[in-house]
Amino acid sequence: MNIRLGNSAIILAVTLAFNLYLGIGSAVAQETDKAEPDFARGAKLWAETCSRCHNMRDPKEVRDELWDAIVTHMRIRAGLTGQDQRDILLFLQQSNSVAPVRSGAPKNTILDEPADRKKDVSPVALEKTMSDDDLRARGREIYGDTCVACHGEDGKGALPGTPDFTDKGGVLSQPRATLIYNIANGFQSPGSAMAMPAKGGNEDMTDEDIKAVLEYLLVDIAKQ
Amino acid sequence: MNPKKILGAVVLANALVISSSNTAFSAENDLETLRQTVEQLQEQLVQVREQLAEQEKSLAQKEDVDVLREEIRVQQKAFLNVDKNGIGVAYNDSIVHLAGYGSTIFADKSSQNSSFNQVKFAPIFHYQYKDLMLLESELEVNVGEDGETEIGLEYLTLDLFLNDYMAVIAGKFLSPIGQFRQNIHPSWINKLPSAPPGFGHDGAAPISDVGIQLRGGLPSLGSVKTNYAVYIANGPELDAMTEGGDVELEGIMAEGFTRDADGGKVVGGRFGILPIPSLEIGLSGATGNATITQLDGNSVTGDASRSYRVVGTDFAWNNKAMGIRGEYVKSTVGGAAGSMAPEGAEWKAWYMQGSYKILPTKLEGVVRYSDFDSPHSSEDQTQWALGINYLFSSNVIAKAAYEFNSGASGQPSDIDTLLLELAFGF
Repeated sequence: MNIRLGNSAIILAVTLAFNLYLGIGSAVAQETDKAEPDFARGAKLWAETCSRCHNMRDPKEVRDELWDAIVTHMRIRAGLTGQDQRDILLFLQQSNSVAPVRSGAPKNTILDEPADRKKDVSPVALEKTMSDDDLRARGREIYGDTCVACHGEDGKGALPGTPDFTDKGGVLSQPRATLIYNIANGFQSPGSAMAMPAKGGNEDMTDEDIKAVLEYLLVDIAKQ
Repeated sequence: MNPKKILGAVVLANALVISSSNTAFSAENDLETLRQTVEQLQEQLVQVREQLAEQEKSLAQKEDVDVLREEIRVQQKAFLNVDKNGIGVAYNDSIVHLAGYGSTIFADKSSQNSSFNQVKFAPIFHYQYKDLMLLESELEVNVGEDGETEIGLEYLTLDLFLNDYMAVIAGKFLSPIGQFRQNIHPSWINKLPSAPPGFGHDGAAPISDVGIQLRGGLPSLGSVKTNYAVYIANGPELDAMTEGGDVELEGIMAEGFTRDADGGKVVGGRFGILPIPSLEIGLSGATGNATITQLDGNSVTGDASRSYRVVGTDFAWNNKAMGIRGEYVKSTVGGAAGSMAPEGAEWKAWYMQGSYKILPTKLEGVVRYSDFDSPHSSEDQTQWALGINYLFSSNVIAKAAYEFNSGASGQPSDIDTLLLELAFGF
């Protein structure tokens, strides 16, 4: 087969026209058709895509604008769509900040490190504002949005080093106070390339959300 | 002065005054004086208590202010990072980013002197303008055997993003044929210190090309994702050598030329499909023309143009701590009547690699089998490579590997090698 320049140009033109014909979009359409970036989608894509070629990099390694350039570069390398790029970027940019941790303030919130990690959390900190079923339903929703990318749908861990929540005597056998503190403030699992960011990187997660997701983990995941 | 000390002093003074008053005065006037004194002292005591309370209050407020300040910082960041489209605007339109990797290798080859035989620095520059354009370039700086520093432009592309599904890549780009060259070759990513035989320079797999490329991800079909790359480029050139009075094709030089010696472009591409998120399967190929431009190391011109074709397939599968990947590539150069080397030739290479992270330790085991077939039996090689890596972090890696090589007797391809590498990706 002896393809000359003329034939090559035709092939290129046909490919480009085909792409546009499919309605995939133009540069103008790109500006108007962008969907809202989604944190949960980004977390899932990040977990699934990056580890195919290289070790996972900790979101805290670089600041926001540098992640922008890196993810743009990776869009080319990994064959991502623009939406994939925006989702992953949102996840990384929200996961590289450090949540505020009180040091000397009154110890009356679940963000506080328990005075004694061996003791369970006080009933006040775990006071519920909804029924057990509603709390777990809320927890399931949060887990699916924020945690599932790294911990997997079954809680057995989707990435190297993430703990198996179904392991009897595993991490979920720790006191609630410790678990809540770790969810709220982030945690470095032994053997994991990156630490779990505070609140799984979801800055919108409330104290009630943390209680809900823990309840879901303890009741629905750990005992499955 | 500490308010508590002030309070203590006042109370003590109060007691002393009361005590001394009892002994020094006995008359009514004395009692009145004493009463006034007590009242004054009580007033002072109240004032001191108020001061103390105020100071304690201000101390608590300072703590709260610190917490509040941090919360504001986080909220400001969250706000600034999202514009109407949810895309970052907290920083300037143009971004400059320096990435890259560096590595050094110690090699101990059986029947040869051991040496620290590789020192590599590969900076990668990213210049981005909004989400429209990315300039990316990788330099490869090596120290040669003779101590001379060698600098190469591994790639330089201008990436223009047309839409969510297509980018135009113009310049010198890594070949989209297969996966190793375009995604796996950086030393902090490659799990072994060496490239599989046939996938390095002058092997079966093309390294890079100069031209234009369209690539991107396509809309998902349910849970199935796909990606593509198509390109037109100048294509490779051929190296020939004289052997026994005849001229034979020596190798394919596929490292990107800014000339097109044969006058015909090469077109090619890769299509990748992910039937499940953890598995990617790729099919790739290219076709075009090539011609001999080197004979026994000297430049030549005017040799006949001949066909050039490369096909490849690759896959990568990951499951938590385990990763398996493999790749096959075959490059074929057709015969050409009237050429100084009329016979065609074929190069084939493939490898299969498995890796496993031994958690919770920082160790990772790697095994790879490779096979490279060349038209010249002296270059044929099969290789088992066993490696153990220590991951100081995800991007700082110490590797130790032993390669069991099998090739033509007495050839470099037949020498077993111990390799130690320290690699850093940044």
